[in-house]
Amino acid sequence: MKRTLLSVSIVVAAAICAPAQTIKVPESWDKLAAKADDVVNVSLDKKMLQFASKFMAGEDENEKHLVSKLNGIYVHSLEFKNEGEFTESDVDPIRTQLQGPEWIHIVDVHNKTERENVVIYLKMVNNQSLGMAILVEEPKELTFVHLDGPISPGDLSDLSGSFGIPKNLHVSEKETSKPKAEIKK
Amino acid sequence: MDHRQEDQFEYQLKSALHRQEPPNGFTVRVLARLEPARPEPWPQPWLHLPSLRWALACALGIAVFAGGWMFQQERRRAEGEAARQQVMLALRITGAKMQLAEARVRHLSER
Repeated sequence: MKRTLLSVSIVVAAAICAPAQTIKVPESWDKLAAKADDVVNVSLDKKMLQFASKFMAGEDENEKHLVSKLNGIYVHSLEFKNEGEFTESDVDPIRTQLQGPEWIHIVDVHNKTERENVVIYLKMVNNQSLGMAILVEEPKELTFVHLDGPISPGDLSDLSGSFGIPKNLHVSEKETSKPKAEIKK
Repeated sequence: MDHRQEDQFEYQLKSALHRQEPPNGFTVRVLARLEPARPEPWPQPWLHLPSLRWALACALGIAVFAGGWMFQQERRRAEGEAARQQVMLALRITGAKMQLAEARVRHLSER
């Protein structure tokens, strides 16, 4: 009985301590990173974000607010010297994880000429946005961004103009309930 | 003084000035009685005062504590700055990719 209780406690503790990132980047990305010219791996959990927000004195209040309320920021970006260094099989595991009912894609652009795929997903639970994921495939670049936490379209509007986020970006809550743009060329 | 008296006087003088060996242990006793030469005492340095010694120890302790605290603060600040840089980098990449998405959507919509 004691042993069972201990096992349950360990499982519960492990679940509590488990990283908040729900989307796992496939292991093949580690091999790709070895081939890449430029690798960016940012993995900041809630604790680190709150810590970082204390040092954002000179930054915009909206940025600070956004950073402090997120549960995590995870960015994986690989830039290669040559084209064709990665294949669909490197990206599919991420796409599969984003096919759950809570993930909706608000932007989905496939450009065969430029050989670019840009997909932006929003995680909607009970009509509340609880995360955003961006998956971008370019001929020489592969990027996956996951902003975990309550990030509303309003937050994006507040940040528009900062960090290269397009200006006058206004997405209403209503618009996020269905795919925003899906253009396949 | 006649000749006889002179001889007697000379005899007395000779016997008086006759060399006599000192008794055994005389040299040792004399040397033992001599006071050993003490070195001139140094002036009492201020460092030897107990209260000053304590004060100095306390000041050193405070300095070490303050140094440690400042080192911790500096390390914390450096870690915070690194975390801030990471956040900025992440948001810049996010922004750049959103800009790319917007450009593609706009470009394709205009066609």
